[in-house]
This record gives sequence, C-alpha cells and structure tokens, in this order.
Amino acid sequence: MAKIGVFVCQCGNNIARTVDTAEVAKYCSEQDGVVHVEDYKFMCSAPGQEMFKKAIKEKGLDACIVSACSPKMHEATFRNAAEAAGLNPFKVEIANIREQCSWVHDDKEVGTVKSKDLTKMMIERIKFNKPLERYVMPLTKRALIVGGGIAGIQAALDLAQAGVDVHIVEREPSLGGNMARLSETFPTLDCSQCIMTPRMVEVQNHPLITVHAYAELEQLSGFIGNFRARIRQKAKFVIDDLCTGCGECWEKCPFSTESEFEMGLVKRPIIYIPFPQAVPTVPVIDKTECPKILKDKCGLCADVCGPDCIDFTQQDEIKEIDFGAIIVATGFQLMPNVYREYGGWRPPHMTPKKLTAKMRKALPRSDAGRLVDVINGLEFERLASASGPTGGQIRRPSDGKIPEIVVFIACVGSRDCNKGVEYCSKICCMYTAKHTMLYQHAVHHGKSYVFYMDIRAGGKGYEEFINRAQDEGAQYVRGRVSRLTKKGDRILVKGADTLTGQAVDVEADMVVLATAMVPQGDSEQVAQTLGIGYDKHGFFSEQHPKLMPVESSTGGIFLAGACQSVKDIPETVSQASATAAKVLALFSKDEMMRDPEVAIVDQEKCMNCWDCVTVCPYLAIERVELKDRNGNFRKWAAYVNPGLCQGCGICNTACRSKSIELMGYTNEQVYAQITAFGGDII
Amino acid sequence: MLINPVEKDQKRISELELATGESISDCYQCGKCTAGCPASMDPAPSVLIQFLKLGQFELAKNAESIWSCMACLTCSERCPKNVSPAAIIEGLKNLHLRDMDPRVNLETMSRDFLAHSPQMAIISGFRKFI
Repeated sequence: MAKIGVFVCQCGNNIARTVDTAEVAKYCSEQDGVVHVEDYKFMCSAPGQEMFKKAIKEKGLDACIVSACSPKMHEATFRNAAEAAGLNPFKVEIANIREQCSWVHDDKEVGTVKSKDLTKMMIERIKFNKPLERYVMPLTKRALIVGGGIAGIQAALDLAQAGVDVHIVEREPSLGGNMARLSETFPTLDCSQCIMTPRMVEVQNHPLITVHAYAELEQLSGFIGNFRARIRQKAKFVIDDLCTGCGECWEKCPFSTESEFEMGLVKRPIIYIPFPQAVPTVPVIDKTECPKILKDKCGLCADVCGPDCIDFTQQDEIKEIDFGAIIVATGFQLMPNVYREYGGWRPPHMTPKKLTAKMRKALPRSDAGRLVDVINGLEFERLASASGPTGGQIRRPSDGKIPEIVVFIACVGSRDCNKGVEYCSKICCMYTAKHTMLYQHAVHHGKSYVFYMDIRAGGKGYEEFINRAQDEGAQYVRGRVSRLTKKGDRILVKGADTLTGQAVDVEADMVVLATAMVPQGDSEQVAQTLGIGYDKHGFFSEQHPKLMPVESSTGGIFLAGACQSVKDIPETVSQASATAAKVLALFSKDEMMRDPEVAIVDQEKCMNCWDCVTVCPYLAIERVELKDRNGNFRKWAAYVNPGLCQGCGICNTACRSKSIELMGYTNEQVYAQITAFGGDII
Repeated sequence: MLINPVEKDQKRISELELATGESISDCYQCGKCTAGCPASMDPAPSVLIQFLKLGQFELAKNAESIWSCMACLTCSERCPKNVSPAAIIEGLKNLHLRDMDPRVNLETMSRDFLAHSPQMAIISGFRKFI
C-alpha cells in the first residue's frame, strides 16, 4: 500500500485567491493511499521545504505530490529536497494548480474543483512511478571550436587559460574571419588588425590550443561529454612542419586569381596566405587553379622552396577526435544576392572559386554597363584598410580615382520582407557612420551622404558616435534609395528625403551598400551536421532567448557570435566568453549525471519500422544488431542513447509496436492519470 | 532635387551659421520645433532646417513660412539639441531682405508692398547688420 503525502501550496494569495486550499487538502486526505496532507502558505520557502522533508522522514512517505506552481518552477526544488530526505526524487510529482488553474480562473468554486481533480490525477499517477536512478556518463575534457574568427579565438583563449585542451577548426587557410578584414572598429576607431593579431598569435603559441586551419568538420557523433568529430584536413600541398613561412613560393608564383580575403578587389597568387599576418603562416595551394595540379605544368613553387615542403601528391586527411563540448562560431557573410534595382553589379560575396568560367565572363570587374563603383561594406573596409589593396587610400574600383562624393545606403537587404530579410541587421548604422568617418578622414574635401530609414545606435558610446560622424561632415538623408543608374562616369542615386517630402538625387562617384548580415551560406548544412536547431534565416537557435542564450538546442553544443544572430564585436566577444564559462562549468566535474527520464526500447518487441529514428529531433536513436549467445545475428532493434535523449517523447508516440516507453511518463502512469479524471478510457 | 554640394549655397549657409551662431548639422530632425510651433508654419521649422542640411539654401530662403514666424522662441526653448530654429529663421529673413535690397528704406518702398508685408518682416528689416 502506497504512503503518499500531498502538500498543497497557497502561494501567498496567488493560489489561495481562487482555490480553497484547505478544501483541496481535505479532499486529498480522503483519497486511497494518502497518509499525510499539508496546506501551507509558501511550500517553496525554507520552512515549507523543511516541513516537506520532515513529513517524508517521520511518516515514511514513499511518494509525494506538491500541488503548487508549474513544474518548470519548483520541480527541481522539491525533488532535491526529497533526495535529501532519503526519497527517490522521481517519486515526487507536481500538480500545477497555479498556472493551469488559479491564474486562469476567477470563480473560487470552479478553481477548487479543478485543483482537486488535478491533484487527484497526480495521486493516481504516482502510484505507478518507479524510482529512477540518474545515469552516470564519462566526460571527455576537450573542447572543439568550429570557426576561427574573433568569437572562436576568444572562446579558445578563455578555455585554454583555464587549462582546457582546445581544438579550433577553421576552413580558411588562416584564423581571423571577418574581423581581420575590417579597417577600424566602432565606436573607438581602433585598428581591427592591431587588436586582433596579438590574439591570433597568442592562440598559435598556446600549448593547449591546436589549430586545424584549412579543415572542415565533416561529421559529428555522440552526445554531451562524449562527442566524436570527424575533421577533414583539406590538402594544403604544403608540409606544415617543414614550412618556415618565408614567402619565396607565393612571391614567385606566376599565376593569380581574385583574392577572397580582399573581396576580389585584387589578385592573389595560387599558392597563398590570405593576408600577411595570417596564423598559421603556412601557405596553401588552391587546387582548383594550380596548373601543376590541373595540368602538371609549372611547379615553380616547389623549385624555389628552400626546405622542400611542397608536396603536390598530398591528399585530404581525416582526423577523428573525441570532444566533451563544442562551441559553434561560424560567423556571418554579407547578403550575397543584392537587388537588381540598385544596379547590375556582380554578386558581391561570390568568391572567384565558385564562379564558373562562363559566369566570370558575364560578370567582369571592369565597366560593361555595370556599376562597378557600387561596393559593399566589407569591400569598403578593405579599401580603407592600411593593409588593403590601395594601402589605405580610398580609391574607387573602376578607374582608381579618389571619389569626391560617396553615397552610403543603409538597410540594403535588411528590414525588407519582400526581397531581403525582415530583421534589422543591427550593426549597419554603426559601420556606415564609421565608414563616413574613415572616408572624411582620408578625403578631407569629400562629401558623404547616408541614406537611412532609422538610426539604431543602442550601445555604449554609439549615439555619440553617430553625432560625431554628422559633425565630421556626413549628411544623413532619411529615405531609401530607389535605384542607381550610370551618368557619365558617375552614379546617379535616386533617393528620397522623407523629412522634406521630396525626391532627391545625388550624383556620386562611389556608392557603398550597408548590406545585411546573413549566416554563412552553408549554415543549415552545418546545423544538420551538428544536430542543432536553426531558424528560417539559417541562424542557429538558442535554447531560450533570455535565460539560455548561448546554449544550442542540443546539450553540450554552445553558440558564439554572429552564427546565432547579428552581432557586433563587443557582443560577439562577450558571448564567446559566456560559452567558455558554460564549457568550464560542464568540465568542472569528472563525470556527468544525466536525467533518467529518457526513452527505453523493448528491443524484443521492436519491429524495425525505424519511425522513431526518423522522428527523433536529437539523433538519439540508432539501429543495433541483437546477437544470440553464440554471437550470431538475431534481429535488428532500435536503441535510444540515454546521453542524447532529451525525453521529448516523440518516438514514444510514433512507435507502432508500442515498444518504446518514456521513463517517468510510462503508459501506465499516463493512463492512471487520465482515468482518475475521466473514468475508464480503455 | 539634386543635393550635390553647390559652392554658392554652401557659402550662404556658412554665412547664415556665422550670423546666427547656430550649427545646422546638430539638428537630428526630431520635429519637436514643428510640433510646438504656434504659427503652424508650412514648410515647418524642421523642414526649413532640413532644406539647409541638404544644401538647398534658396528653398529655405524663399519659403513663405519664414514670414509667419513670430519669433516666440518656443522652438528654440524646446530643442533637445540646443539648436535655435527661431534664430535660423530670423537669419533667413535677414538674408532674404538683404538680397532684395541692401538697406530698407521705407520711403522708397511702395505703399502696396508695405501694406502686404508682415509687420514682423518690416521690423526685421530695420535690424540687419550683416
């Protein structure tokens, strides 16, 4: 015979206002199996919990119901209290009589009846609760960081400084990401590379950080604490250990193609490092362009290489490494498909590699009825950068002239649910203001116009920065631009000034588009590889927008930087440090405890329809072979990995042969609960 | 309207800024001056300033509404950016009159003009020292 205790909480007046808690307690005491009831003002308070523990010990209760607020609030509180009192925590259930009863009813009589029902359902259910034990899982204390931009670098340094072994996977030949491209950063105008390269060097020199440059994460298996990553090290055709980074090879390389790092504004050799401060300073050979690899001609780099480190036969290498936690920091790109009405420019972020010969012919960098002097924000950064293709002089791409009138257009592609993305790209107001300043500093007699819709400058020192930009000569015009057309060697910008209600024209030498930030083109594929959620734009989804902003939907995978939403550098860095803190918290124990409320398969009953495998959102279910005692194959069956299972119950409902049970939510429990309310349903 | 910088207009705007001691670029077009204008100017004070921000000196100078400004200074009092639209409008009136005739001489003015000019404009005409 069960010995059940029922604890009814008044929650101050929150519950007591519409529920007669004394009446509920009295009703419960009459139920079969209930040996103890309490009615108290605040069950969650310290005296309330003491009362709960005391009752368990003194009355020898073997199950407890707390009729109170939502289990999301205090289930953990009471389960921990029960554990402290010597009762299995999974023999405690919460009847939600606040959110699902008192808060939604006005009539006390109705509220009381409903509370009685809700509590009675739990009393019947708990009679079938089995004591469950938490799983103990091993833990690999090694972290993987996907993406070597500022977010990845910051997280790696924070973790390594705390003594964690860190691996960074970066698909480009060097760390740095988009931040390395920037000229100066708002709102202080400090040089981006000056503040970034020391960190890159620190990463390279740190004994606990391993950088896999020019590599990609190909596959991820396992679960929190026990991931296994398959990393494809793309062939560099250069032997890392021998290369001294002397630069003989890339200086002598007779062939060239458009530089991805410089946004296609200049050429780079085929054997290259993306930029002079690259980390690691090991060049890679672009195998899609190298004549030696394609046609077995040239090979000059191998001839000039002193330490003989060029190996044209190198193949991609697969590394399998175990990790305990993963930080995803894949960053952003600028929206590649910008509109036709702004003029027929080439797709800005399309790197030459991805262009076929035919497309390249159709999209020349030179003038062919196209507005080549319409550039995007990152291209402008390269033009303004001291290490950029023009050495910091702002010159327009078509003829190298110093532009005297520059128009900056904000919200290109953002806040446009028709042709772009509906969200605000957030950083464009600030970087446009910065661009006007960089321009005014470089070209004193120049004039800059900014077409904007709203100025969104929420941040420390941001509004002041916008004011400064206007004081330094930027003319803000409130309105969108409708189109850009060619007029002589200038661009006619047709815009509006909604403040005077007039259409305005500007004849500009160069136009800079503040193009929307969007996730990397393959972010959805990355999310699928990692098994994490993403939104319709391709940004990775956080677990909770306010209280769990750096956790992904999968345990042990954390999100940092612009892959989660549009962010500026300060926010990215704080988020990266936050992920490091989360990983450190996870690694602070030697083994992990996992909730036992997971699905279990009765493998003898499993009839191999694999519906559960298809529906599982956490990739927790796998197919296993069952063998007889002689080791011969007997049958296939599904197996739920308790480390991965989040206890959502979807497999349970999908299972045709009813061979999956969700522990803590078994059919017996749920039927008992429903029967207690609605009579016999079976 | 083409808003590329025109040297002549830029010069006049600098002249206006010098005469009034106001910085036109400080205005961020919140519209508080327009919202409180008891004379219901049209074009409104904020629009006049926007014309100047866009380098359209002539549009501002020739706006009829500058003559309906009563210099009550409500706009200047309320401006969150310490710009005085009343001073700018006063400056525009002065520059306008100066463009018409370097000195106001009531005797040479037609009775008809005086009868149809706002009193404020005639008084302003005596005050100019630019």
